[in-house]
Amino acid sequence: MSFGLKSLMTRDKVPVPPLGGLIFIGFVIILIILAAYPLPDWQLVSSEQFAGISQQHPLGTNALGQDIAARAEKASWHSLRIGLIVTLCSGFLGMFMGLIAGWNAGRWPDGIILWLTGTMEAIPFYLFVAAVAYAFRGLSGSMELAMIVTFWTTMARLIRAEVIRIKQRDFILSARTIGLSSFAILRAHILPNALPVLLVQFSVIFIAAIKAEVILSFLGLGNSSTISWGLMISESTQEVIAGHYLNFFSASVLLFILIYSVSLITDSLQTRTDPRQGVA
Amino acid sequence: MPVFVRKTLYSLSLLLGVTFISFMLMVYFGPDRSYAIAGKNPDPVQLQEIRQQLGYDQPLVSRYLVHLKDLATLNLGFSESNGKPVSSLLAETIPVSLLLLLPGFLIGNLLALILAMTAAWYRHRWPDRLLTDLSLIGVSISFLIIIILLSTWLCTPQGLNLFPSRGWRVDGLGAWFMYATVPSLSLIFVSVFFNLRFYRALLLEEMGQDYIRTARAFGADPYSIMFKEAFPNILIPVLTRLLFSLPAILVSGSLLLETYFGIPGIGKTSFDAIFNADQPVLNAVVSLSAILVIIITWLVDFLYPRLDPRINLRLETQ
Amino acid sequence: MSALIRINDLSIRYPGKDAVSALKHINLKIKAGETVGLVGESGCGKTTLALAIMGMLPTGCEYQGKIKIDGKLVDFYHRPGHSSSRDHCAMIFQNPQTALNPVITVGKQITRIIQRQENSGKQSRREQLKTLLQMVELPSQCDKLYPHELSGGMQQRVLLAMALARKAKILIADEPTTALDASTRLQILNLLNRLQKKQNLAILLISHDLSAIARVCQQVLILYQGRIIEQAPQELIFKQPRHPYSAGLLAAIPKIHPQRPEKLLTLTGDVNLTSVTTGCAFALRCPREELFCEQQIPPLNHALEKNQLFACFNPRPLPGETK
Repeated sequence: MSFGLKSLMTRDKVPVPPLGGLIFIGFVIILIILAAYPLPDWQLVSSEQFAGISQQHPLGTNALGQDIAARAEKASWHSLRIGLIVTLCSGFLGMFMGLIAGWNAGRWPDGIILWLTGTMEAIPFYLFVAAVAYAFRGLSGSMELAMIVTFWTTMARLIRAEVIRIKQRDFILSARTIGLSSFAILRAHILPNALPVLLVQFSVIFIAAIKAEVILSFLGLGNSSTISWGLMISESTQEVIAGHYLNFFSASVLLFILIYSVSLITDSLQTRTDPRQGVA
Repeated sequence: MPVFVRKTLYSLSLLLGVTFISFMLMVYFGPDRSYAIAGKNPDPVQLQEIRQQLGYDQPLVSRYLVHLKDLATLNLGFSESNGKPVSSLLAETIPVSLLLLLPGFLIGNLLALILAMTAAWYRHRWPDRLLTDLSLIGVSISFLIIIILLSTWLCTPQGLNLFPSRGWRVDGLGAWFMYATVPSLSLIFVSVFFNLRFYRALLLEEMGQDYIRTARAFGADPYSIMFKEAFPNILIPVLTRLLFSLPAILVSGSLLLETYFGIPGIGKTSFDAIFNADQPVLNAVVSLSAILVIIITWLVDFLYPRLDPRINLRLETQ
Repeated sequence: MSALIRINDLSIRYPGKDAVSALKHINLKIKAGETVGLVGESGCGKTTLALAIMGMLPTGCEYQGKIKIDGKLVDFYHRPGHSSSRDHCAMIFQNPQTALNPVITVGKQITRIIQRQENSGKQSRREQLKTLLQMVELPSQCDKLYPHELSGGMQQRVLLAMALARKAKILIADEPTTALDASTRLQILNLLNRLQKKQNLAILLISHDLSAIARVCQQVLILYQGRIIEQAPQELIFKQPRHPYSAGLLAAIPKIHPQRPEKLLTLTGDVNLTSVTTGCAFALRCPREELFCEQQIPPLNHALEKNQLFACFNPRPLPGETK
């Protein structure tokens, strides 16, 4: 399979640019250090407000006197969790929709899925989240649900296009003539070929989910029972005006490191899979 | 089926889809208004009457049809939080959002295009690498962070304190400049980095075409190669991106910007509507943005043959 | 008369680890009103030479040698303030359908070049456009059309009109007729001939179409793996090729009315660009190979006739000679 994972890693003789991976590992190491450090509970008012950096509070405290490092750690896990859930659910949803649409291109399942993607893309995202939050009020996962049902459309479009492209190639025709079933062809031939697009799109969804979660919880549309980067930033807007930056910087730097590392990885995946954008 | 009919049907189906979803989520599953109207300790008979008035006893389909009829006759109802007619609320807020967002959006895209041209011209040399690396850093910074950093720097005594930090008391060009600058700068920052790589990829593909080689062989300078030769050829994807990101910018982008800066545009109105369970306003905004998307798809079909003469040919031969 | 363009000892290396010398020690001159044909199989460096003259090789290429136009040294890198070959040369290409900007009318594309040459008024530009279209024998209504609305031959005429608008003294034509059908091919070649007479152009015609070369060229160069291996006036090279490779190339042309049915000759073997030989690059494929052919590179030498040069230790005998 010329477009499989293995060739993705080794094509062009250029090794995978290590920067993105290194920064990501750096992010994980920060989390591990934070987890290993004996920090107070993230909800506990453990000190006076705006305590500076100390051994007890490596990143100081916020306006209420809660430990910023502990909150940052908790928020990071929260963000990662949402990112992963949304990416997996939305990514696979999009993949299946794309496979079905592409395989049935021009027939009714394709028409319905295309219509559905068009409809979802025509609804403003934040209003949709708000509406879902309403309809499923009381349910803690309403924000994740809203992201899952909106973020799959690009993946579906791309996979659909990829399936249609690959379906016309000769080896698929020969697979059909020897009597392989649709499912077997999809599994054995089309998915490995669509893998690069799939991987890139998974990381694109991951980034979108992380970014959206921050903005949603900043706006108060997120899950308010736990702490998140968006909530930390929301608290910090008043603190920043008063000259207290620790809360803001902790949240925004962690957010940046995570997104930047995944963006770097996505970018090198993309250059690898799209020769037009690649190094000449 | 003629293209025109097919397109009309598709547009209608899209509109139906959007309105149905927003109806289901906001009206059908939405908050029950009868208690709010009936007040404290409602008596069941009165409650029943109110429910009847609101149409809650009707089946789903007929409620949806009524909802559609209201939308179609532009009977958008009244805002539940302040009692104003929704149509006049929209008429007040949309111009504010346009004044706030369009300049930054356009300047950002123009800047992205110029930087992308620079990068494409110096392909794989240091200006290109610098710009693509910077743009990756740029897209990794959340819009929210940019807004906070810029406003802290430019609007507070902590920084330069040049602009008002909140509000929108615009009565002239000067006031508009004061209130719109910082939000626009944030929007420019985001638009530049969001589009730079895309435009660069488009231009790089064009730079490999034979007609660019011809232009170079006939002595064209970098400026005319980029603007006069390559640019007309990437107009279609550029316009597609610009036009289709417009609804997202107008509604979703304005939501954060206007909420943060306290600007009474469509975004702030939607934000307030979200928290006040103001269904008529939310429904109107959702339907409006769906209509905008549909208008854009029609506009695009109208524009493309004018931008690329080969598209006409393709349509004729079909 | 002195040469309009003179290339001295030009060598080009493409960048990269396993760098290939695309051109080696090329010497060439073209006088005004003269057409020089450049022949060779694909990959021999024909287009590289054309692009080198135009200064359009990808960045990172190594240049050696000199190109002089009108006695003035040309800057390979087109730095501002230096004399550039693009001020004197125009180039037309193999695929006219992709060489023109698809979304701009041909009239406008020609007018842009007129404008670049001189800042003339709108009226004068329109007039010039009309004359140019007449010169390349296109109907004047053509200026409103887009490239895809023209045939291949017409597109090539538009490119020629652009070259004329450029007031170029030297025209480099890289396979200008290869993508055209047979009857159009002839028309374009005849047009080239007429324009050359009218404008006193120097033309470098790159082609592997030997019948085209025979029709319009005075001098013919044969290129093999980046080296000129034979150079002679057109009549001589077709009558008595001395280099075995030239002979093989000529023998591979099918004749329409052969005296007797003959078998077309084919050259054996393949071009191997990366293998480094110390001797003649053609040696391994050569029917007349001698022992020392693989040890030393044969220089481009004069034969008895002063105007025929060839790079071969064991050339084909002249008619009447024995060997």
